[in-house]
Amino acid sequence: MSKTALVVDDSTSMRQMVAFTLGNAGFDVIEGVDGKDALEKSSGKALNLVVTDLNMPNMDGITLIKNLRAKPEFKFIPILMLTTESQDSKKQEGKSAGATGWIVKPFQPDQLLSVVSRVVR
Amino acid sequence: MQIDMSRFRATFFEEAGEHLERMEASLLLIEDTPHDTELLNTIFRAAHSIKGASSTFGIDEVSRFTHVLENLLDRLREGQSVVTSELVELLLRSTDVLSGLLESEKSQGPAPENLEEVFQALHSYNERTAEGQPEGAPETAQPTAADVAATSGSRTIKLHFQPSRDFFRFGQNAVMLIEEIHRLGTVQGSHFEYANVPSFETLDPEACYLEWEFEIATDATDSDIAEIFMFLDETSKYSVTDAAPTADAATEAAASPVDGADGTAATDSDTLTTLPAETNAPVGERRVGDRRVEDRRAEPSGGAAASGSHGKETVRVDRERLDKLINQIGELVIGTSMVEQEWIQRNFNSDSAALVQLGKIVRDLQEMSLSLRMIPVAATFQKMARVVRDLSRRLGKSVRFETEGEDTELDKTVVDQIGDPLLHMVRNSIDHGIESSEARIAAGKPAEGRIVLRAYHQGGNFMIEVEDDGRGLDRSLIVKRAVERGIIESDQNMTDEDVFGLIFAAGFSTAAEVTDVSGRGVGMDVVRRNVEELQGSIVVRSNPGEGCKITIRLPLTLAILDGLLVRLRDAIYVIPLLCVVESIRPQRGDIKRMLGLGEVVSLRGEVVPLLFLDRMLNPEGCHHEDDTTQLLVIIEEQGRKYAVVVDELIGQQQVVIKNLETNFQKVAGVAGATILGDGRVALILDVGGLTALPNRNRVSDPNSTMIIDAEETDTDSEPESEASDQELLEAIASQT
Amino acid sequence: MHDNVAGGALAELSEGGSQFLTFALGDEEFGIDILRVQEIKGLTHLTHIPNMPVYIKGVMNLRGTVVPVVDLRSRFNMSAANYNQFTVIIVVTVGQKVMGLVVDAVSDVLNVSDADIEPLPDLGNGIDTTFVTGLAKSSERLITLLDIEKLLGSPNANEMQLAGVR
Repeated sequence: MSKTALVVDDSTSMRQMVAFTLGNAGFDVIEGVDGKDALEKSSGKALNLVVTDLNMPNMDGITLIKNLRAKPEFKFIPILMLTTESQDSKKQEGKSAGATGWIVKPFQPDQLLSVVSRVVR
Repeated sequence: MQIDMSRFRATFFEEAGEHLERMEASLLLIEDTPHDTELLNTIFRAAHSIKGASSTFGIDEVSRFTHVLENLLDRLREGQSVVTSELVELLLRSTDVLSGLLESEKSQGPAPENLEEVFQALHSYNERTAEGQPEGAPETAQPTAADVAATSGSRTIKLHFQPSRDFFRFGQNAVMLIEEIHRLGTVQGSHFEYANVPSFETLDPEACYLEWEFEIATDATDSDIAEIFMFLDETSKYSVTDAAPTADAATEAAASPVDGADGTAATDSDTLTTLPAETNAPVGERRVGDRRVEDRRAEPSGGAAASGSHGKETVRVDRERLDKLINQIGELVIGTSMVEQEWIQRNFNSDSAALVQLGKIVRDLQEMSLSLRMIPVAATFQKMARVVRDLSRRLGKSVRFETEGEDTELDKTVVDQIGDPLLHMVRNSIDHGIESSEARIAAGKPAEGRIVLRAYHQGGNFMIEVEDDGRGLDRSLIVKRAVERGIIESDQNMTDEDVFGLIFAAGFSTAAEVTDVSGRGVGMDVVRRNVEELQGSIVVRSNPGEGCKITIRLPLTLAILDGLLVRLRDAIYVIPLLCVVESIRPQRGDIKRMLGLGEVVSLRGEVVPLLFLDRMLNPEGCHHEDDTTQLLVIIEEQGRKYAVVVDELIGQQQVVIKNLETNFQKVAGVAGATILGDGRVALILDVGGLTALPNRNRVSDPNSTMIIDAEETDTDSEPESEASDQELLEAIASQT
Repeated sequence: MHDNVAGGALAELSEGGSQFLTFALGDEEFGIDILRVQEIKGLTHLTHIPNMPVYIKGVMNLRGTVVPVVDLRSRFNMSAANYNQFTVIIVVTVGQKVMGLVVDAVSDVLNVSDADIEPLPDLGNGIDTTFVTGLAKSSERLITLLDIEKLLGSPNANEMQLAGVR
C-alpha cells in the first residue's frame, strides 16, 4: 500500500530534498510552497504524513497545522515540523497546535527518515 | 540510504539568489519605514531560509555567515534592536558579501575579501545589542546531573507512561512508542492500565484513556529514554524509576516524573537544544506579531518585496524549452497562414469559416505563449534603488528615489538587457542632474533631490522613464560641446529634442569635471546602442533648472516585430514599423544628386538622403536605374530621416524574429530574419546599422561639384530653385 | 526522399573505419563524415545575405530555422554549375550550428577502413588542402575526404568568413 506525504516548504531546495528523500523511501509526495498552497493541495487527499516548514509566507506552518488538525481526515495523522535550533519557542507553539514532532535543521536525509520512522509505520 | 545532496545545490543557489534580491529590496524600503513588521519578516525569512538550506546542503561558509545575520535580524524583528541607517548599511553590505560568497561557492572561487570584516561587524553588533538580553540558545544542551549519573552501567528501570487524553490528536501512535520502549532492553514485565476508560456512554472515541508500565533491564540512559518520548505532548507523562539498580549506578537517578514538554527540555539529546526559561516570555508577543503579519499579507497590497513571488504558484521552466515552445508556436502561425493562402488561391478567394476560426485560435495561442516570457521589471528597478542609495551617499547628495509601475511586464530578454542602460541613466541623473543641497536651496527647490523611475505600457510599447528634478540640460552648453567635439557643426534647425539627443552621441560629456561615477561620456553612448539593439528609441525632454526626463520606448517582446514588408526586385525585406514615418511616390525632379551625399529627396523642404538597399546590401549586383517608378519609404533613425528606395509596399505584418546568429553570424544592416507565409526567408532590416553602412549612396564621380538635378533633361534651372538648393546644401551640412 | 540515407547505412558500420557520405562536384568525388550529416534535401528557395563571400548562397528555411547555405563549388573556386533537379543541399551540423551545403549530386554512403585512407599528395589543383583529411580509395573511385569543421569554420561562425578570405 502506498503512503502519501505532504511536504511543505517555501524553500525549493529544501522541499525538493525532503520530497526526494521521502519519495525514495516509498512515499507518494505532494509538495506545497506555503501553508495556503499545502492546505489547498491536501484537500480531499488521504495523507499518511505531513512534513512542514514553519516560517513561510502566506500561511505559516503553525497555522497550517491548526488548519489540518481541524479537518476530521487529518486529525490523527503524524505532522512533523522543520525547525531550527533558534526556534525552540516555535517548537512548543507547534506542539500546542497539534504537531506530532519536529526535525531540527540542518539534517541529513537519513536523520529525516529516522524521525519519520518514529511516527509512521 | 545514500542521497547525493549535490543534486539540490543548483536549486539552492538559484533560490538563495532570489532571497537575496528580496532581502535587498526590503532593506532599501525599511529605512523609510523602520517599524514595518512585514518587511522585517521578509528580510528575516530570507536569511533564515538561506541558513536552513545552506546548513543542510553543507555549504558551511554561507551557513556560518547567515547564522550571525539571522541572529541580528531576529533581534530586529523582536524589537530588541532598532533599524538605523548604519545598520541598514551593514545589512546591505552583508547581502553583497553573501552574494559574493554564494558566487564563490558556486564557482569554487575565492571568498569575498571583506567576508571576515562584515562577519565580525555583524557579530560585534550582536554582542553589543545583546547586553542585558538573554543570549541565544546555547549550541548544545549541557548534560544534567541525572544524565551523568545514569549513563554508566546497566540497570533495571520502571517506566511509567501515561499519555494525555489528547494523545492521538497529536498524530501520535502508542503502538509505535511501545515498540520503541521494547527496543530499550529486555522487558521483564509490563502492566496495562485501563482503569480510566469511562463507561461507553461517556467514552470519547478519539481520546486516549490508557496507561502502561514496563520493567526493563537496560543500558539506556535517561536521555536515551527521553529521546523516545521527545515528541510527547505537554500533558502526556512518563516517569523513570530505578527498580533494582545494578552495580554502582544506583545513586540519585531518583524517581523523576517528567511531563512531556519539560522532559524534552531537561534531557535533550544532541540534536536538540534547550531553551532558557526567559526566552519563553516573548512567545506571546511573537505570536501576536505573526498574526498581524498574516492579516496584512491577506491584503492584496504590499511593497515591491511582497509582490512578485508571493501568492502565485509558479513553475520553473528551462529557458531553452520555453523558447523552443514559443518558436514552434511561431511556426504554427506561419504554417496556418500558408494554409490560409493556399485555401484562398484554390477556392477563388472565398473564406473558410473553419480556417478563420483556426487562425484566431493560433494567434491567441501565440499571444499567450509570448506572455510566458513576460516578467515584471521590479527586480531591475530594485537594483537601481541600491545604486541611487550608494551613489548619492558617495557624492554627498540627498536623493529621494521613487518607482512607479514596477509590476509592468516585458520580455525577459528585454528586461535582462535594459539593466545597463538604466544604470547609466540613473547614475547620470545623480551625478550630473541632481544638484548639491545648497545649490538646490539657493534655486528655491527642496534640499532633497528626486529621481523617479517609471514603467508603463503605451500603445503596444513598453515605456521606461528616468525623471529627475535636477538642473536640467543646458542647450547652449550641449551645442557648444557637440561643436567642439565635431559631433555637429551648428544647431541650426535642431529642435530641443534633437539637441538633447546629442548627449547620447559617442564621446560626449557635459560634466564640468569628469567624475569616476558617470565615466567619460561613454555611458550614454552605450545607452543608445543598447536601446537600438532592442529595437527601441530614446527621447529626452528637459527644462533648464527644472529637471530632465529621459523616455525609452521598447517593444514588448523581441520575439515578434511589427514590420512593413517591402519588395525590391525579387527580394522581400521587413522594415521595423517603429522607424517608418511614411511612404511617398516621388515626383520627377524631387530627387537630386549632391556631391558627397548622393541622391537626396526634398520632403516638404526637408532634405532626406536616399538609401538604395540593393547597392548597400549587394554592392556587386546590378542596380536599379529607373528612379521614377520607385517608391520611397521614409524612415527615421536617431532623429534623422532617410528614404529607402523600394519597388513595392506589400503590407504591414507581425513577423516572428529569427536570429541569424543561431546558425550563422551577425550581418551588418540586418537585424534578423523571418519566415514568410510562403515559407521563404525575408531579412529584417536593422535601420541603425544600415545607415551606418559605408558608401550608402555617394556619387562616384569626384569631379562633380555641382548640384545636379536627377532629371537631366530639366536643364533650365530657375533662380528660385538654385536658392532652394543652396538651402538644401546648408541643411544637409548641418545634419552630417 | 534521401532523408533515410544516413540512418539506413549506419547499421552496416564496419569496425576500424568510418562512414562517409559521398557527393559529386563536377568530375570529382568528395566524402564527409556521415555523423555530421543531418539530412539531405532538394534545392529550396534561398534568400541572399548581403556582403558575404560569394560561396554563401544565402539562407533557407529548414522547418522554421534559418540556415545558411554554402555552395561548395564556389567554396572550392570551381566553375559554377547551373542548379538543376539533381542539385541537393546536404544539411550538416558544425559545432552547435546547422548549415547547408549545395552539391551537384549525392552518390552513396561508403564504408572506409582506416587502412584505405591515404594522405593527400600535393595536388596543386586549386583545392585548399587544410580541410582535406585524406584520400579514400574504393575500387576504381578516388574520394577526397573533407574535414567539415575546418571547411566551414569552428563553432565560432565568425571564422567562417575568415576561411573564405584565405
